[in-house]
Amino acid sequence: MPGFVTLCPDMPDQAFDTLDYWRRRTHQLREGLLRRIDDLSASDYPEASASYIIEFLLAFFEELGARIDKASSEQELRFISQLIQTSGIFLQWLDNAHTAQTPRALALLLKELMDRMQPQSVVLVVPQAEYNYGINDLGPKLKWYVEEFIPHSRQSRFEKFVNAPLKLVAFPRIERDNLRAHAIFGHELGHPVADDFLDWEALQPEGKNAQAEANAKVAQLVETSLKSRPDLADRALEISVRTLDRVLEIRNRALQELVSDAVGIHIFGPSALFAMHELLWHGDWDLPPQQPQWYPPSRMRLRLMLQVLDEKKSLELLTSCEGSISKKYMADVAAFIQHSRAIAGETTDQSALKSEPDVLIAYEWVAASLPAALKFAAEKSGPVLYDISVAQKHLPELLERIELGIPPNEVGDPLAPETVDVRSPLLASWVYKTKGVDARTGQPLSLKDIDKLNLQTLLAVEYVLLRGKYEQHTAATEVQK
Amino acid sequence: MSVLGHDELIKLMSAESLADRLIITPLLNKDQQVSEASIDIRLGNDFVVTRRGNIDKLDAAADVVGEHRYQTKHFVNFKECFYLHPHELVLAGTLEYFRLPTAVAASVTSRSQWGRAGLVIATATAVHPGFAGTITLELLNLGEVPLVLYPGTSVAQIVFYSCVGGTPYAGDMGMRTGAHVPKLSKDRKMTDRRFWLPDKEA
Repeated sequence: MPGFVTLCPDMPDQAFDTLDYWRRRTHQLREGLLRRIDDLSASDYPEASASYIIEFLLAFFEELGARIDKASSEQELRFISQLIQTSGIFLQWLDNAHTAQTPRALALLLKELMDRMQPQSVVLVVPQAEYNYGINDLGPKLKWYVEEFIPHSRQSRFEKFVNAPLKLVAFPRIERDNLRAHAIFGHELGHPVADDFLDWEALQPEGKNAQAEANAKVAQLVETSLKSRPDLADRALEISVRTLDRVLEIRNRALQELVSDAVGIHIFGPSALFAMHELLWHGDWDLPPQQPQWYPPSRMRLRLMLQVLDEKKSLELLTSCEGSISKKYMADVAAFIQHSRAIAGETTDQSALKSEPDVLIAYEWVAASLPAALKFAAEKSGPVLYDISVAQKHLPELLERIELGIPPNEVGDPLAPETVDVRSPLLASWVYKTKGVDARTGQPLSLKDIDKLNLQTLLAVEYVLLRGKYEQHTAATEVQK
Repeated sequence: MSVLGHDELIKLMSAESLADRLIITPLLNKDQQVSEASIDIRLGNDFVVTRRGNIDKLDAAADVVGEHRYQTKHFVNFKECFYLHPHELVLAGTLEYFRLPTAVAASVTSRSQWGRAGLVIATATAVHPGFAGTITLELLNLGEVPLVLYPGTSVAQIVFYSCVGGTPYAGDMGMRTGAHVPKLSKDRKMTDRRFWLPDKEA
């Protein structure tokens, strides 16, 4: 009858079915996640990586529907629902990866550098509340999703996703527009190199000898310690193993950080030193390694970065930049470097390391491995090395551009300009900021001036990358003609 | 005051001293972009659209809403598009960044083929001597059908004039990037606003 709703006359007395109930609950979660992911597909992202991840997630959770339908136990449904709940983290990442929160220049710069190390990288760059930088490999996670939850017959749909190098890059939100600080990412890009070194070294005779030497020192240490504790004599083996594990962990973590610092210098040159000095300044220079991160003392890290820069003569080249404009700035840069050297020149960190005998063994082992580690880092950084000798020639004009309020993106003949290395705008920006004086007024840089410098640095990086791509395109078009 | 022709523009862009040089960066296709007496400029990636529902009016006498309440920024990647609907006004930054020497002023106008399609690209066209920054275009579709706009497209041209006795621009629009929105109630030149405008509660 028009105007009335007809209710089902055959409604069962009891419809509740446990498995069916949880199946519907799991579907609700899946649908909820799918809708929120779909909402995010309307956001503006700086480049294609976020859309690529959204495409994967939409396809994956669509396919997961069939797996939920076929689930035969509550336990299986609970497992799937936990996967959906934990996948909510993608919403947080994607919700912060859009252009209002993530500077395009940073996303493009990291993609450019990562592509040189691992072509066709997918890079999702997101800010985070925590003051920390990080690069995590998302590839294995997506691979696990597909292998664990998608039937073999449907896995080919995900082939292109699971085989791509997929990185999640996090930076502190407070530093969003400060591209200079993001030279820290050179260190983060160094972590895979450091891991490769540890794997490589373990197979070398020198590496095996160094490990044997550390083992002997640990045995000696345990033996000496147990002399005063005869009650623990029957646990000598257990204590030895535990001590050796701890020494190994402290030593590996130190090498991971130090090798990554060296790679950071190879990738960003002096900008990495400036950025890392600012980062480390917030803590205690001599803090010995502590659980769970076991970071080496900051003073040691600064010393190592200066050592790598000196071996490459980078600081010498930087401070000997020619021209009247450069000279205005280089006294301040030299003063900053001197300040870094004074901190690195003290040896209080080494005294702190000696206070714990197992830490001392670990760091003696680090010292034995370090020359080979630094050589390895230099070799592996080849595709992304920053050539300071070229940058040095560009720097005077880049500084003049900043002085005049122009992005520091190109130099030379104005009608056929030479595009600079994408990292040179950062270096010029660091040099200008280190002096800290507005060239137009002679007054100290205000926060507004720093904001403008930040925007010009970001824009310069975008312009450098755009011109590079445009020139590649026009060259390819010429070849086709 | 005279319009600078092709050869003068090239000369100005090649000036030995950076301070005296007309800077347009990146000028990706100089031979095509520098015309007889103007330079074609490209649409950038940043657009600002108005959220009408969040504002009752713009009133220079009352700073009633923050710009973020009624302006939405959109980033459009290269090869993606922005639809400009009939009678809609949006702001868009130029791809290029400019710096004019103090002896030169400029004005921005539509390119004729886009103008004939109904696209007005600027209502406030003057660019002052010494200005540095991207230029914000005020895009208005006066046609009857939506226009599809792609970043990188040359939709506008900038005409330069020699300027005698100019002083370097020191206004609020300098050294900005992307598209940016002025606050009517914060016009730094209206120091006599209390004389001209009624007092209103913020």
